[in-house]
Amino acid sequence: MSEHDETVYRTSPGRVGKLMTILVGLVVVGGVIFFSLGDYWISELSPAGMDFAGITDEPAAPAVAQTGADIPITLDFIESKDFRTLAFNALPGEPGNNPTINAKVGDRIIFNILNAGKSFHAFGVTLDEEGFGGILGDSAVASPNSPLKPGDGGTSEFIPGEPGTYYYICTVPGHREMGMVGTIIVE
Amino acid sequence: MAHSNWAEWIYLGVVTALLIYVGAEAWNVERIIEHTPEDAELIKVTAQQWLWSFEHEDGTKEVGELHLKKDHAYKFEIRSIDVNHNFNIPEYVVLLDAIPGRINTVWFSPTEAGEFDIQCREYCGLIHYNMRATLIVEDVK
Amino acid sequence: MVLELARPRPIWQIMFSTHHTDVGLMYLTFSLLAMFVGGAMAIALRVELFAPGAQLIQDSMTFNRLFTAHGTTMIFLFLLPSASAVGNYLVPIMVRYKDMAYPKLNAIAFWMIPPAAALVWLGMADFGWYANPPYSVISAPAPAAEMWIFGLKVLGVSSILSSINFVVTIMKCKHPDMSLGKVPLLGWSFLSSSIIVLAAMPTFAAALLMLLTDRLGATGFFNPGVGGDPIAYQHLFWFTFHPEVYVLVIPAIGMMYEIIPRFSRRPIFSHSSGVAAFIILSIVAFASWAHHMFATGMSFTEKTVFMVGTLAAVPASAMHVFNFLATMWNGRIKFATPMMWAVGGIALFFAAGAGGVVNTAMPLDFITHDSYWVVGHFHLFVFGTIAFGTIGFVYYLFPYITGRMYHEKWGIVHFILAFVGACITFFTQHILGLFGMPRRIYDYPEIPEWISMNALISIGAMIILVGMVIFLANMIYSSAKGKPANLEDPFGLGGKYYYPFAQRNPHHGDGGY
Repeated sequence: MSEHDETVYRTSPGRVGKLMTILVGLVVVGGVIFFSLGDYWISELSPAGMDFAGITDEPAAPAVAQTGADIPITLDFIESKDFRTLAFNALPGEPGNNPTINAKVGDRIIFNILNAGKSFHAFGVTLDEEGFGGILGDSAVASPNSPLKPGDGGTSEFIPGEPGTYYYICTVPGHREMGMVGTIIVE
Repeated sequence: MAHSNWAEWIYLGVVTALLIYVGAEAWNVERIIEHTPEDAELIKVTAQQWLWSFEHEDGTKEVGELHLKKDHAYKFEIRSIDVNHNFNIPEYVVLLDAIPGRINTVWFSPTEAGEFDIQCREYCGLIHYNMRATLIVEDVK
Repeated sequence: MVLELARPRPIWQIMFSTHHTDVGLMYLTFSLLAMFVGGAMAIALRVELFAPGAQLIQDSMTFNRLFTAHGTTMIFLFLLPSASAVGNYLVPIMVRYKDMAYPKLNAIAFWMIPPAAALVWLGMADFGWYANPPYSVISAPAPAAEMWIFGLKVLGVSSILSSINFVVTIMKCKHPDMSLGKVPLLGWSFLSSSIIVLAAMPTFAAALLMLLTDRLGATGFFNPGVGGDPIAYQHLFWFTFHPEVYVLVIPAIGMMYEIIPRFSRRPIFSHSSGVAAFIILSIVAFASWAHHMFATGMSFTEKTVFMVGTLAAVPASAMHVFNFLATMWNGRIKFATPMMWAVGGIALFFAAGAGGVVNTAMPLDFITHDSYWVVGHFHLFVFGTIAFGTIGFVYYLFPYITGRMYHEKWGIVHFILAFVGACITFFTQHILGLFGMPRRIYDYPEIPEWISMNALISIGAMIILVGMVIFLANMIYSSAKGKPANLEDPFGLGGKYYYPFAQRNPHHGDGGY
């Protein structure tokens, strides 16, 4: 066993200070990068996830030019107290619940969406009779993966190119089944 | 080793005996509770993000609520249509994963009338924390 | 901060160095940084869970990302690197060699960790540190999930490289006069944990790659929509991570083997018992993985097999507890800070193991699975045993690394706060789990028992926080201005401390190291 026979140097306050500066500086830089890009890190869905949700690159209906009137409508996401029933504007049984929108081909329906509930919601128009996929054109406001927080809102518009029955829904999985769906009758 | 370690051997013997007891008792109890009674009524449970829906044998569907009868045996066939969930009635120790692509079965018999919680016990995303339902057990014949 | 080999060196020279003490210092600094980052996340979670409703965190997505990052950080960025830190410092000295077997590989293994940490921390994925599919394949948002996958890939490779180094150093580079059986138990702990990593980690590397290709839509291993099986992932994951939890605990037990005999002023009761226990644990660790999957719908026979495999690992752990207690028996114990941490760690290790026996008894698992009982159980291991052993050993190594003594009274205060806080937090979590509260939930209904227990747990977490702040202040202040330590015997035990310079290895010729 050899004895240590050389001078032992102990570190100084200056060097400890340098170490702390480097470490804290790194953490701060990391924090700046993280927060300045905000929701980017969770903004997309994986390709497998898009397949599962039926989201594709092509629009489900071709883009249409507006040839008719503007139809503005305000839709608020609301929830029952026990969170079991969800709806637009009013709960089932009350006036104004899930209002039906009547429009003609070429009208521009302007949606003013507000999350008046305590949970998360997102909006879109679809032709599908069930489920949360098949969102048409530019009708989406937020998405299930980056939803509207309570109090948040947004606008979108939808110009139907074909007559038929469309549905406006909350695109968060399960919410349509719990009541967040209304019809758009286009002639 | 210069010293004897009889103490260590006895200690290990005691520990091993305790563990064998725990293992044997657990094996026995699990064997008994996994035996589903023949007259258990089938309830289909569907888990999805983020709600529970149920279908009785006669086709009645319920969403967010489940009405059952006291002292009847029920067998749950648990399925999921998107991600993993876990069907849990904590007050009756009913707990089993809902895995998409397979059906898991568990049975129980509610012995008390009243309202009980149903909750999801496997992380499934944004509203996992509120994926709840109510079990209502009625005292009817 | 290192005991300088020649004269105070420029920081960049330490960062580019491949000497084991420098790499050990970098591992230690990084792991303590990660401990505080992970700890801050835990405090955020506990503040939010103090009462029902939103307190600190306004949405569940942020909460989900925080608990994922907390778990990932603590396991991969704190516990594993801190074990590597201690191993790097001491393994070459214990086997009387000049450095690790592959010094450059050693440095590379360390430097992979900060970029991987950056990936994990910037992305902040939300699927829990298990990353179970199908959620992690079809539902978890991008690019956070991909960043997590890549970050863990890199961390896994770093772990494998570091393990290769430990195995070769201990088995091939030890001093010719030292037989393998005479290697100190801390050395044996690194040998066993490294062999477990080499056997278990590649499975997770495969699972990560499969998860990534599944997310990209190229494959369907775990995605039932295209014919895959989500349970296959769980088997692969737990085949790695059950042995991995032993990789985490075994070095901490080794560290206790350094502290307890010295502070009891008695030799270890049975060195060969300790070696046997490490070897048995390393093998039986591989027989129990699916006890994490009892609720997935496994058959009765499968569950029985894994229950037996889990129970079989308990006697080996019990051997270590006996060894520690028998060493302390009739000893002239000095309850300095490192000894308190080691003894506290043994007590909580015992409690954690007892809770584990409950979990593995098949029917009882249906009460405790995925509830706060499990959270309390594993925290008693990772905090109560591993962090306690590690922190105690950091205090023990402090004079060796810095040449100064930390402030002893504040070390004791830190211990008391951490022990009391750990008992309040983690034992209450066991009871909360029995009352049915699931884990990984952002908010909970207004059940009175849940509310009061959650409040108590959050208070316990704050107590731990106060202790950790004291620890940070003690470490920083004492490394700059602490009293110079007596390097022969800084704790006044009358025994052997560590010598800062490596032994010359005659096997490698004259002329130094």
